[in-house]
Amino acid sequence: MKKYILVLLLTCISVNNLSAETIEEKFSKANDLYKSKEYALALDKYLEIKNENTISADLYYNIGNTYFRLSDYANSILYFERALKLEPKNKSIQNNLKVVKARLKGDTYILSNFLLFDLWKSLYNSFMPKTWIILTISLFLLSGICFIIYYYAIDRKVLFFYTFLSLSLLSVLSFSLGLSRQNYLNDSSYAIVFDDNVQGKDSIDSKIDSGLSFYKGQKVKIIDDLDAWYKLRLEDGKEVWGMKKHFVII
Amino acid sequence: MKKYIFISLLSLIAFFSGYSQNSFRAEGPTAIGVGEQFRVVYTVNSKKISNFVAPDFGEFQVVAGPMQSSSSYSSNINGVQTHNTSVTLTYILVANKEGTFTIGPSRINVEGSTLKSNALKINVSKNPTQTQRSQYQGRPQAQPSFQQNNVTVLDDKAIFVKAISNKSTAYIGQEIIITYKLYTLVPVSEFQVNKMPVNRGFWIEELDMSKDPSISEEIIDGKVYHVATLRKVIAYPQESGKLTIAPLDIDVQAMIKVNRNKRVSTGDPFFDSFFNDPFFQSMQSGYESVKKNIKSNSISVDVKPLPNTNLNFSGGIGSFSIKASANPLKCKTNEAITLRYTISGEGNLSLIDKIDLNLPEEFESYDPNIIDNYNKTQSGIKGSRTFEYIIIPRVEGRIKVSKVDFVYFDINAKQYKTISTNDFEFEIEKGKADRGSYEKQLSEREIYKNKDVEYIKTEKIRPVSFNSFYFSHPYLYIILAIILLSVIVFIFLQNKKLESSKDVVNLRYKTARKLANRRFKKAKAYMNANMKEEFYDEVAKALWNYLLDRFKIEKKELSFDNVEDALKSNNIDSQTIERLITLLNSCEFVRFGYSKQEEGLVGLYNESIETISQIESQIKR
Repeated sequence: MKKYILVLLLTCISVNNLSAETIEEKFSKANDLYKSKEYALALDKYLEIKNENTISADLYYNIGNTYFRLSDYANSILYFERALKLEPKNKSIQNNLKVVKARLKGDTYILSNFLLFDLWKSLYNSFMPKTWIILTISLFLLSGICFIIYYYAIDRKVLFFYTFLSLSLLSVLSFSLGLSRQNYLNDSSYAIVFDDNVQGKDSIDSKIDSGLSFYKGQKVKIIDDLDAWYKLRLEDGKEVWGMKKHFVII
Repeated sequence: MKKYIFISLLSLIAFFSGYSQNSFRAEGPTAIGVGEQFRVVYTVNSKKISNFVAPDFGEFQVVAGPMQSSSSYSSNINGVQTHNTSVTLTYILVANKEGTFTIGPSRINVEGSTLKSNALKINVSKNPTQTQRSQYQGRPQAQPSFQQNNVTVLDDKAIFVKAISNKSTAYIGQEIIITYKLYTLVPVSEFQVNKMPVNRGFWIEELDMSKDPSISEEIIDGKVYHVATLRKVIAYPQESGKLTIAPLDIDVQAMIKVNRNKRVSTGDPFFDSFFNDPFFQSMQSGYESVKKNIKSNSISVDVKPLPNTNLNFSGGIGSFSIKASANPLKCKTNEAITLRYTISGEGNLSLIDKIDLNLPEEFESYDPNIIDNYNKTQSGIKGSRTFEYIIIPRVEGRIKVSKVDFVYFDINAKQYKTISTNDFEFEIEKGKADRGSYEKQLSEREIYKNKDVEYIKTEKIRPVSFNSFYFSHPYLYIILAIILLSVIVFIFLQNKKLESSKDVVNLRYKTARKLANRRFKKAKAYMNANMKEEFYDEVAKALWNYLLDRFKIEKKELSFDNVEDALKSNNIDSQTIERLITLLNSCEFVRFGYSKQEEGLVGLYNESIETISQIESQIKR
């Protein structure tokens, strides 16, 4: 169903027809290289596609896999996280991300979110923003029609009124879900640590380290940005400053 | 009297002894009555203080305080000019309950380092006895008699102060007990410490003198001296080498005998002879108070450094044992566990300020509470010091807190010794507060450690034409506005149309018959269900509404007469009109309870339908 809607929505697929090889051809070539265990070569090919500004969960997923085979776990996590952003409910991506995380040298206790927040997140992650827009418009249109019917109805006025009301509320809901989904996609506040034993500091000008260190592949949230430093929140809720050069934004 | 002076002196000593080190001391009474006000004084020998953390007064109520006062003085010791400043913080407290209570230590920041005061133990009784009071306030006591008080010159033989140390060699941190004794042949009325010796390289602990007010007798060179212990301290050398403990300098006010050979003359031979009687003579030969400055001898100690060690030395010197307890061993997450490590024994307990506790990450902990339960005795500090940690488990599961190794220097064996506690294993259940558990996350991680990644996607690449500005794009809002506008425009136009053609009334006119039929259907259902009241109601409504809509009568003008007029003007024959009126009447009678007469429901129903169809056919004509 979702796929179907997506396909419908994709009004224009920007495929660079000018290049000698199409993206699809390159992709299958890279996949063939991966199959024959030429991981380094496959990676080059995948990154070539990626550098043509192709945004695709499948592509990111394959890049993540290739980095994993090359034992570059930080990059692997970076690409799996990027893929997950596009398809948050994809089981394969979720599974692979967990597998890579288990290979990391460190481990963080992940604080659970507020229940309603999780619910909201899983709801808005159901569709891409485009789908949400179509849904919003259709619901709005239907509610308008319902209002007209209600207005002229002689019988069952109440029924039509409530239908109108619920449809307009659903339209508002769908609008805000779409907005949330878009913000989630545009969100660049998460980063992956790319160096080992990065030391954190309690404040930028502090001479001593805070005793909190990052491990390669760790996911952090950027909550503040000052010169060469990021203020970061770890998954266990602790906050610390770190040098920007050690982090790559998802 | 003497004791009184001793005690007042003692507090002076305690006050000034702080200058030998960076010290922060608390002073207060040891016994007090219920409801009695008393003061607790915190003294720190620096003005650069900050962050004074008030102690936990427990059961005591603060009447006033903290009152801060500072003093400074300078002194000249052996040509060395020293300036000292001190700040005192005074609390006035009152005890409301009986029992023994402890005022916890307070903390203060002095020149960047945090000092901790001693804790005070105060016994509160209902009616404090005199002796208990005297320990603090001091009461005059009977003066011991001086048999040999025929001293006329106050020389170094007659009165002197001696400093006695119990060892001449010591390790760093090993206690040295120094006793200052006053030897006197004459009664001493008063004395005053001019300055407390500044003992560089020593940590000084005052011994509580009130417990041994020893005034004894000693014979030196055939003379019986009265010996009073002025001061007793435990000195802990802090550096190696030859260290000197400076002499104590005091001013004494002593009574010496004065022989007055002057005869009393009254002019009366009788009285003269009376007063010059030897009895009176002895009475008159009085004592004179003489002030004298005396100094004790200085003591030199050879301090040996401790042997080098790789061990994590705690700083403890003496002989100790360690004991640990934890309570509870089983609890839920986010509940507090108390972990106690007690070091007991003899030695420099007051200088052991930390233990080497390594808590697992799963616990959140705070700085330990230090609870002291030791006595400063003649042979050093004896008792225990307890480190009390409050730890809070944040995750569930079985969590081990590994043993604590305590390394101290055994003074008897002259070597380092390591004593250990037992391990603790806590069983932490899931508490209410957190939903996710670390344990679960860890076990999940273990599972995924042995898994391989799923295979790559080899189908289509499915690229997303991803526009990050969908919701800031104007087209969405334009579409929504168009929809909204078209609804409004549609309703507006439709209303105008209806109004101009009176379509509303026409519509009602057209649907009158239909509506009536719908109501009759409902009425029939009521009839079948034998619901009479509803039936009549429905039939009446059907008839009236039909007439309203069909003959375009306004609701407020509705009456039998109006209906009759309207029907007549529409050329309905009078027979039908009469039939209708009868029907309406009978319905109305039953509805408003004027008549109990109940015609057959079926009859009424059929009659109504027939009448309406008659009217309908006549209109069309």
